[in-house]
Amino acid sequence: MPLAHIPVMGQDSGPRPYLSVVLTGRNDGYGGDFVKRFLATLQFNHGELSAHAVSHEFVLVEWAPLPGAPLLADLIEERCPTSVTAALRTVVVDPAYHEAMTLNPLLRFHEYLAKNVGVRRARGEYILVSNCDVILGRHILAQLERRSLEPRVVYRAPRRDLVAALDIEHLHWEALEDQANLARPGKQLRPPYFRGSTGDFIALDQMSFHRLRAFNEIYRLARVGVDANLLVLALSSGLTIVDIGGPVYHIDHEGSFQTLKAKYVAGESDAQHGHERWNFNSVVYRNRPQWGLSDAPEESRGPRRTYLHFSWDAVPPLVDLSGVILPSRVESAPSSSMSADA
Amino acid sequence: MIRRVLRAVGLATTGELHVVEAKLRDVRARLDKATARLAEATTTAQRLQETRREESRRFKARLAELESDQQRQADRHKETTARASRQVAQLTEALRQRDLQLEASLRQETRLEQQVAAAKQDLETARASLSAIEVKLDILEGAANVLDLRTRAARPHPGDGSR
Repeated sequence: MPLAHIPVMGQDSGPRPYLSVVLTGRNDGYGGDFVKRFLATLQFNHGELSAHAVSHEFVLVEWAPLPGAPLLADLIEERCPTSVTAALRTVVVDPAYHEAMTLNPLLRFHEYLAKNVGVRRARGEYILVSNCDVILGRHILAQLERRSLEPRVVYRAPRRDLVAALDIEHLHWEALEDQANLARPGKQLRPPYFRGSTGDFIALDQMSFHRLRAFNEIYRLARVGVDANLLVLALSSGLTIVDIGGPVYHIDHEGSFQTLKAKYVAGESDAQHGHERWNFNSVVYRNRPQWGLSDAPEESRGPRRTYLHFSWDAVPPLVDLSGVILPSRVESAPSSSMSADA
Repeated sequence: MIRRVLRAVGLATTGELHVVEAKLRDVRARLDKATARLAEATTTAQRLQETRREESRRFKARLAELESDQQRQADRHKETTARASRQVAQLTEALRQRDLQLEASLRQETRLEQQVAAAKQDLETARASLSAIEVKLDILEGAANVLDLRTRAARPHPGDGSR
């Protein structure tokens, strides 16, 4: 199967980075001071990747930004060093896409549709899909420095949740790695899927990501489970899934999935993350070739900023039942009654 | 010299005669003693012989007794062996019958296992299909809700003067 067209973003034609880190967010005050957490994490990760000589780029997708609120890209340019902005490319997605594509009006942010936009445009040999407040651990950095990643392997990492009291703006390894700062016991990832806060760390070579066509764009009713669903598709497509061997870190905050879970346990139909119990363990998908809004009209708004204008041509059908498929090979998949990872 | 003359005419002196008589008496005494010992030995030998005959008779009687015992035992063994052989034959036949029944059961069990495996496979397939159907229903329900919202948003409200 020929590699899908990778849109060229902006004016960036420099050497291909080893790693693209795909993130998504918007300036909406999610989970408290989102901007503060994001900027601190971005600078820390960039500093550590640079210190480990890992050529990288950050691909930030601002999905349906709120009118009147400063773009994250602008805030980064104002508050972060030039080295950070030089490593960052931003895609701003017209809000009309959210309204046109969602199948759940309660879902205010389509995290994985946004990440697909980033994956589609990422240039790195390897693509790491993560979140704006996830800190890469030292073992992961060492692996990246050694360039030890292999194609056709999905790399996963366990997440260590740290207490909210930690100073996000003065991160250091001693605090991150101190067991006393764990907000809850770390979970061990287990084969065959190595699930558990999956969306915080999924790394895969670009070609394999494109062959899978990234995250599910057929089922657009939930954020929860979409990341785990990719793992089921990956395994049934013949890819290998492994634990990279070291954790990522995440500092607790209000509004995170872990803290919202308890709030919505009785009324998940009202939850802003959508249904938890859809069949993401046993049913997979086949996105259209135009996944990731590849047909969206692009406007360059700076050397490293692209705006995706709305066009119905880029919007997938509201209903695409032919894209709902069963895995070709399920490796001892558990039942869908298991709770999703955040 | 007198002795030589007497000896020449076949005569002996009185002394010699006494000596000879003494010797003769001695010899007779020894002969008597030997005869007595012979008689004693003969008596002893007869006693021994009698004893041996008695022992021989006892041995023969004991031998006959043992032979009789042995024969009885042999007869008993023969009977026991025959009985055991009959039992072995019966058990062998029973075992053969049981083997036949077991083989029949195994064949039936294999058929049942195959049926169960096929049913399980069908069940898994049905479950997977059901899962896919549920996902599709979710999508259809979501789409219906979205379209409903869009339609309501698009329709004019009563009293806005558009009709």
